[in-house]
Amino acid sequence: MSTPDYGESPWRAAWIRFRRDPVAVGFLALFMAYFGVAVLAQLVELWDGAPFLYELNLSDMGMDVPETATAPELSHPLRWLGTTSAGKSVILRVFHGTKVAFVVGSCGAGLSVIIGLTLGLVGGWFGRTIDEIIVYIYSTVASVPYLLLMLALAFVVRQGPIAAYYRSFAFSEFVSLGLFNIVVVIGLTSWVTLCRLIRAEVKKVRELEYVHAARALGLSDTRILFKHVLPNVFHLVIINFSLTFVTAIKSEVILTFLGVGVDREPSWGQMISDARSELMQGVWWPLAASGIALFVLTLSVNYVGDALRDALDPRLK
Amino acid sequence: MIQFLTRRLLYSIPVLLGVAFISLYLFHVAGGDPVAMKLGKAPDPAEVEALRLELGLHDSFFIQYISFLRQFLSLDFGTSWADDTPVRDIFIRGLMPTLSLSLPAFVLGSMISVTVSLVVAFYRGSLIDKAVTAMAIAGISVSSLIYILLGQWVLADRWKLFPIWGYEYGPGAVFFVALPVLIWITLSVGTDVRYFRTVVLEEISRDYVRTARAKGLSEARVLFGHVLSNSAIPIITRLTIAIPFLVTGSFLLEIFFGIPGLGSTLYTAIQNSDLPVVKAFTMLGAVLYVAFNILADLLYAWFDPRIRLS
Amino acid sequence: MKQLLSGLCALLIFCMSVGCSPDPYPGETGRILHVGLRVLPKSFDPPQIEDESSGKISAPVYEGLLSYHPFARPYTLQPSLAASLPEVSEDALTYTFHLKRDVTFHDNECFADGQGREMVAEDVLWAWKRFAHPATHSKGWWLFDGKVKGLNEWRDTLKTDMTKARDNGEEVGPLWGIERDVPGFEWIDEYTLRVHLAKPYPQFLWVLAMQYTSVYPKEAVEYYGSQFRNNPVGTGPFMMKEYNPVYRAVFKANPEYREVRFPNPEANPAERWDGWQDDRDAGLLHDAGKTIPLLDGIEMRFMLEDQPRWLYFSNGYLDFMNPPKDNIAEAMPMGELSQVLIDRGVRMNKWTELGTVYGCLNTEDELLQNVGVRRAMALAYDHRWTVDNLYGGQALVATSPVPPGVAGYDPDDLPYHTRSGLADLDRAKKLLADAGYPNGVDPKTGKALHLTFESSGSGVTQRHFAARFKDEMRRLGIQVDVVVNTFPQMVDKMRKKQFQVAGLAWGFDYPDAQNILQLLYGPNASPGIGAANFQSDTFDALYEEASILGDSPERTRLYEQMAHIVSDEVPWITRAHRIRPNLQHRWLFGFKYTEVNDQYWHYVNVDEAERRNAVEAWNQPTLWPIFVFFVPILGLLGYSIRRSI
Repeated sequence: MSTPDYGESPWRAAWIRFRRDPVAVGFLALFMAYFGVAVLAQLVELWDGAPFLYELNLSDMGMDVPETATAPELSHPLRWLGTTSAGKSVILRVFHGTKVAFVVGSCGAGLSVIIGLTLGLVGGWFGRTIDEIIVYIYSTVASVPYLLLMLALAFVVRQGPIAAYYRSFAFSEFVSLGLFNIVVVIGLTSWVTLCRLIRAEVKKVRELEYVHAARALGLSDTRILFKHVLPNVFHLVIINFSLTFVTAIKSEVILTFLGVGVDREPSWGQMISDARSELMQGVWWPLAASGIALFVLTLSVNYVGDALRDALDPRLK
Repeated sequence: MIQFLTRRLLYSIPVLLGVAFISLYLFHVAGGDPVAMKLGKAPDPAEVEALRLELGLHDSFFIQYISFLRQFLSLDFGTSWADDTPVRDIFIRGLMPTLSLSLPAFVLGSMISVTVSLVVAFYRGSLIDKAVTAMAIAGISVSSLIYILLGQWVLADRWKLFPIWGYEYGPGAVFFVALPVLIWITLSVGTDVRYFRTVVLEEISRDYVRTARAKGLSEARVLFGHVLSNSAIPIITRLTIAIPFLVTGSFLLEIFFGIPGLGSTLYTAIQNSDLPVVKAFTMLGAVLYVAFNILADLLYAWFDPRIRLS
Repeated sequence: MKQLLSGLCALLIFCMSVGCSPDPYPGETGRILHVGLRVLPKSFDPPQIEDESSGKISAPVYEGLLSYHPFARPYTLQPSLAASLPEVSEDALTYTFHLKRDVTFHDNECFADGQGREMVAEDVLWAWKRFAHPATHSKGWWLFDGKVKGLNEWRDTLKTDMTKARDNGEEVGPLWGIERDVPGFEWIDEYTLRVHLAKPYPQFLWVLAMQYTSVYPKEAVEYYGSQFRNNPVGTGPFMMKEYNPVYRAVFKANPEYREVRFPNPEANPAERWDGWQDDRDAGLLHDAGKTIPLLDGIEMRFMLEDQPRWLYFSNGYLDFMNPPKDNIAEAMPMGELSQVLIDRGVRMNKWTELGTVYGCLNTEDELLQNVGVRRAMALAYDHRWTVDNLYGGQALVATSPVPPGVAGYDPDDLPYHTRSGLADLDRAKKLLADAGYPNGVDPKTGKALHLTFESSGSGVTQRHFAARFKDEMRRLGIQVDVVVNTFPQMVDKMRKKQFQVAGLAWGFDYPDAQNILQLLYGPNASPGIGAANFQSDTFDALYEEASILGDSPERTRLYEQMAHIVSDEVPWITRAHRIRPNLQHRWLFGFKYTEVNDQYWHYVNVDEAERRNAVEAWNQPTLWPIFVFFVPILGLLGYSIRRSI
């Protein structure tokens, strides 16, 4: 990627390389299907309003279902994955969990990428004192034990000034504080790797002839950064986004299990941590449903991420 | 070399200062009132004040920061607010259980992943390679909580192969850590194999390997003689950097399997706002992290004479 | 190389199949009771023992002057270290205690010769003075505050003198000045002491059965210093063998324990209590007439996670278990035992807890000081749903703070809390409109009202309750934000009055309604114990009137009136009294669980042979998975390694 190819768009070339692997394309399709479910879940909720479908007991919907856990059965789509101990449809909760996973994954990874990319670009491009400061910041953040950083931040976000700030936003209607919390925690703890990579790459790009040339032509720094440098490091961003996406939805499970994650709506993490007491009763389907949903999504993102890396980085063949 | 060490060591000072600042600040904002924990449900207001004064909670952030640094320099973090035990004793008490879990897991796990990745690299492109890569990517896509819940439920409860929970100091620990070690290895092997395989493959694609092959050396000689020694550098670096994390261990495994180690201790301390313990652990973690990073760089230079430390 | 590899593999498999042992108590001998606690204990130091787990670990070691009868209900006091119940003067101000003469402390290195010496009246008074000493920071001081003649003055003088001494550069330790006399604590002779109260205190004897007032030797406190909390020395039937605050506490029987016999009502009519036949039929009196302790030891493990604790119990590694009170519905659907447990001969007893789950409203809050708003909130909440869904039917709707089993409990409908627990949304909306907020809209800002709900802990029930609260308030037009806190954060917010609504629960320290009603007594407002900051002159007058009365119909009437005020003015939205099950394996005897006191350990016994057989039969390792899963993997690995070499 270090030498720009002006003959053919590098993205197009990458896409052609990516397409060669049918499994990767399959997983990409699967990922899109998940995305569709997430969007659909959000749309239904927007359109239907509170109380949301996932909150209702099936008996409230006029179905003859006891208000206890019932095993999966085929009689009605809402019972395909069974019901929870409160008699609510597991399938609806899994669907809502998909939406939560996408919010957590894309916002968390997005925030992390924004921080990492900005600092990396700025540090790598401007060098000197600014760079020193940025290197100092990330070495310090990386040195704080991860468990402490994650948990302490989770508590801070929950009730500190950040939570108050969150409430003033319009989106607080759609994104619960628990979700927002995870997004911020993920964003603030996982940007270091990308920042390091980008900074190193930008330093290299900076010394390339065409960048020197662009400078000589009197182009502004911002213009050079966005027009010439950014495209050269963008593959790192994409790969890192996919990695952080996975980390984020897996961290959601852990944080929710620890009680500092999603709390007002169903999420996969919640279903998995509830299984702690459900399993002993032989109620395995909420765990199975959420666990498999999580597994397939992470698997497809992991695989697509790998395939993308191979496609974008011709050295690795 | 000495110049490099001095520079890195000097640089670690502001980093540690920053870590101290971040941890103290986070708890300043987030921490609940430890006095409430010490005085119970109906405290006398005057006593609350007195205790706050005694614990130094009234001091300004700056003064608390300075006293934190002083504690760090004297390596004496005082006693835990939760149970009055000296932090040093808490650390000694938890170190053995944590290491008896994390060391075997780390050593066995690294051995398995290095071996597997070499084998896989040897068979690159074959069915074995594809199967192992697929297993690795599937393995890392499962939530760690599921491994723990199912491992405990199936292996310990259903099949009675391991104790469900507990720990024994001394050699008896083997029985108790067996299952958590197994889960830890399962968790780490996937990631490691993927990484090491890439490293080895990258090395194989280099020119000297082609030359060696052209000279008629057997594939195994090439792999274990040349490739391994050269890909050792990134592998060793990665393993060195992982060592500091062994000390905090895996708090999830410790909580679920009743191993009274440092990870679960730190987790409890964070929940209870037990600041002396949290401070000591943070600084310990940071020092180890910094130290092993320097060590990794030194090793890098040691193994790869092309790299000059400056 | 080949042989070596296959040899290694074979060895590994051999080790795995032989070494597989699920036994979590390797090498244990004797009759040891196995207990699992779900919260880490904090301390063995009696003045600090407030939480459930600390109480449980301390009970085997310590004794006070009085204790609860292990089987009699309603709760009855019996002498423990005292030779008999005290002689009380006419004016109910003077209590005279006679002590048993054969009581010795545990053998411990804190004594000069390692031998536990005899316990005398001086030890009792010393332990109580330490309980009241300002430097002890006791968690139970409120129980003595203003109650004992001259004790508050003693404490205050000590405080000022300590400050003075410290200013003079003197070394001020935690026992500074404890030798000074307290007018209310009178030493008569080695085995007799007298307590003078400042005013009648009907709950005094209950307090003497609490862990706070247990007796311990001053040698131990002086010897261990701040580490006394981890090194208990008492007079109880068990002594500490090993303690790891994050893992377990192990106790062994005290060989020097004085002769105490298990009550034998059948043979001895003087020892009978109401309903003793039921207890006999329930098999509780298996060891009647024998000397206690019956066990060789107790091992308590601190198991914070539900799954391992349940699995431990169902496999016979714990002798009894109280399912966590906050997710009974999850653990036991509809409060019934699973078939597996029934087949294994597990017994279940249920009782309604002495305690109340409630939503605490900060009545000093700008919005919540409006009583109409509080009433509307109480009416909008559907308690029936909570009981049916969150507690799986295993709870009673709480109409007032006072639970059944305590004088003052009122089973009738009260103004804003009904027995049915159903929400009355229309009335609630009307009340809210009358209070000045039609449809939940604040006329000043034109926006919907906004509330913050503070929740502590992250249990399933807390989460669901918070979610439900949000829903119910939304129907009123009020928006609710939920904040999850750690316990210290929660206490901190309450002390600073920085909250609006909080989900709380209170467990009784002794079976007297005063214990919960004190939380609403005006002078107890924050930073004191009463987080609701409730101020009502009528309530305070009734409270003061009742506080000097002994158990009587008159006092019960006062308690009822106070409970009505709470239900009417709604400083609390009372939610539920939980019904709690206690599960026991068939080899456990003499265990009748109580929640106000943990001295039941003294009378417990296990049939070790029965347990060993059962546990062995239930825990036979299944070896086929090793061959099905591990052998092929190892084989494949070995094969590919061999191929590549």
